[in-house]
Amino acid sequence: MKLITHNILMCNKKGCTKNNFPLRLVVKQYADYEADNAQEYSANLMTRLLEKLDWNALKITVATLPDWGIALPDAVTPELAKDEAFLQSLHMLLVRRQIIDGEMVCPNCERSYEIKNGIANMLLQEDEV
Amino acid sequence: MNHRPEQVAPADVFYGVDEAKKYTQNTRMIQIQRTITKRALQMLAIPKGQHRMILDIGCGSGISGSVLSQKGHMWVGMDISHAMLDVAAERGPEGGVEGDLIHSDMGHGFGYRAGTFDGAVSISALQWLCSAEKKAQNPYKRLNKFFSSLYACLIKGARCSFQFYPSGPEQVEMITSSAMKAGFTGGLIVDYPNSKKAKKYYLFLMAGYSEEIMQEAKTVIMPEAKTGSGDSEDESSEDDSDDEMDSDEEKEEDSEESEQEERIDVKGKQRKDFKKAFQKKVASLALPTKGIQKREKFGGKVKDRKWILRKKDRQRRQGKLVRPDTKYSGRKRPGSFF
Ligand SMILES: C[S@@+](CC[C@H](N)C(=O)[O-])C[C@H]1O[C@@H](n2cnc3c(N)ncnc32)[C@H](O)[C@@H]1O
Ligand SMILES: [Zn+2]
Repeated sequence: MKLITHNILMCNKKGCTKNNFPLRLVVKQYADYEADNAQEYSANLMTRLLEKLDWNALKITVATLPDWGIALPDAVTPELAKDEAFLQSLHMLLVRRQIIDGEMVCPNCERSYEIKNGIANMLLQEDEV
Repeated sequence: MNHRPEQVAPADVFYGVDEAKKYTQNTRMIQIQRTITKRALQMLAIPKGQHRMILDIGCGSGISGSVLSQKGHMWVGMDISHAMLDVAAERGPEGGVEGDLIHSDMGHGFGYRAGTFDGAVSISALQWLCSAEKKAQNPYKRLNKFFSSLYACLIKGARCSFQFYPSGPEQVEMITSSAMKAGFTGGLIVDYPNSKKAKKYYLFLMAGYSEEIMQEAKTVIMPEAKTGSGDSEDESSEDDSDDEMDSDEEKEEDSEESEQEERIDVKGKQRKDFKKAFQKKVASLALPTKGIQKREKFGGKVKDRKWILRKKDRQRRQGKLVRPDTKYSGRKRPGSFF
């Protein structure tokens, strides 16, 4: 699972409609796809993803993963959004890096969603719908 | 033959390990999934060279997703069957499955942030929503939940194309009225209406109206409009080089597949609208059916180029064959910027 996907996921449990984003990300195992394998870098795609991205949520999440050693800028200025080096780095972080094993915990209801073999388990029980 | 799978068992049971295996071994099945996905993607009318964020509903083993990946799109796929998702994960990016996989039941709705997806596809999955998975489930509620959360996570004007196998007109009505209730407009597109075997139903939906997307779609559907009296031959070959980005893993089937596509072009499509409200909207919109005829016109010329590009890509890929356990590189800091 990619960080871009984490950035779009809210808790979907019944009644949990507020403060249900971003899910707290716990990473047990991660890896980076080889450039040859991963979704190819595309400036227009990155620009688009950047528009959708909740930068604050990404910043908060990355801050909880100190061993990644990443310091994101406070905000994405219009100049930054056009900066090729910035977009390339973002591609690495959002697209090539994969969470293989871990979980996501709802900040509101504490429901935990497992990530196993890279697959996020968002499946609810019938009584959670 | 007479049993529709969704009446036999719940999806997560039906799509167990054995069924999932078919999606890795049955080349005909793989090919059909690919062909349908290409057609569905065509209906999204994304300009060439543009890469989007797409939701694949019932993404299963990732065949449909691999088509999206080959076109350079980013996608998130959801499926209720773990066995199918395992196949998709096994394929991984080397097998063209570059999107993310989410285990979830579309009938439960989903919580993707508003405006996340630029479009959605679904291949042979929607009919499952019409029958209750479990006794306690209400198909109408599930459909409503599905369409309302879908609407919520799309950008305004986003297009969706859902190929499905309706059991009859009641099911079509059941699905479309739920989609309308959620705010969608659109119509039913029937390909090969006269062929019992090849006939395919696509639910084509739009999440509201966006001038930008309509204009964009027009450039895809009617390239002539873009350049005025421009050279349409040029545009056609460009169009096809884009098409050729999609040389695939199932190389042996490629030639067959492109022939199949051509056959689609020749036979043409027939659109069948439903419900008056839908009908009006659809009639006033440029539907991507026209784009196909355009390709037909220049089909012959394109093929050689297609073939060469495919061959090239094949060779390139073969030289790059990597074992699944080495698909990841060593951990490194993401780029130099941060
Ligand atoms: C014909 S398969 C689609 C195959 C897929 N397009 C591929 O490339 O492998 C239909 C899929 O729909 C999924 N499905 C059925 N009901 C579902 C539900 N309620 N929620 C999510 N997925 C569902 C099934 O698990 C199955 O994988
Ligand atoms: Zn929650």
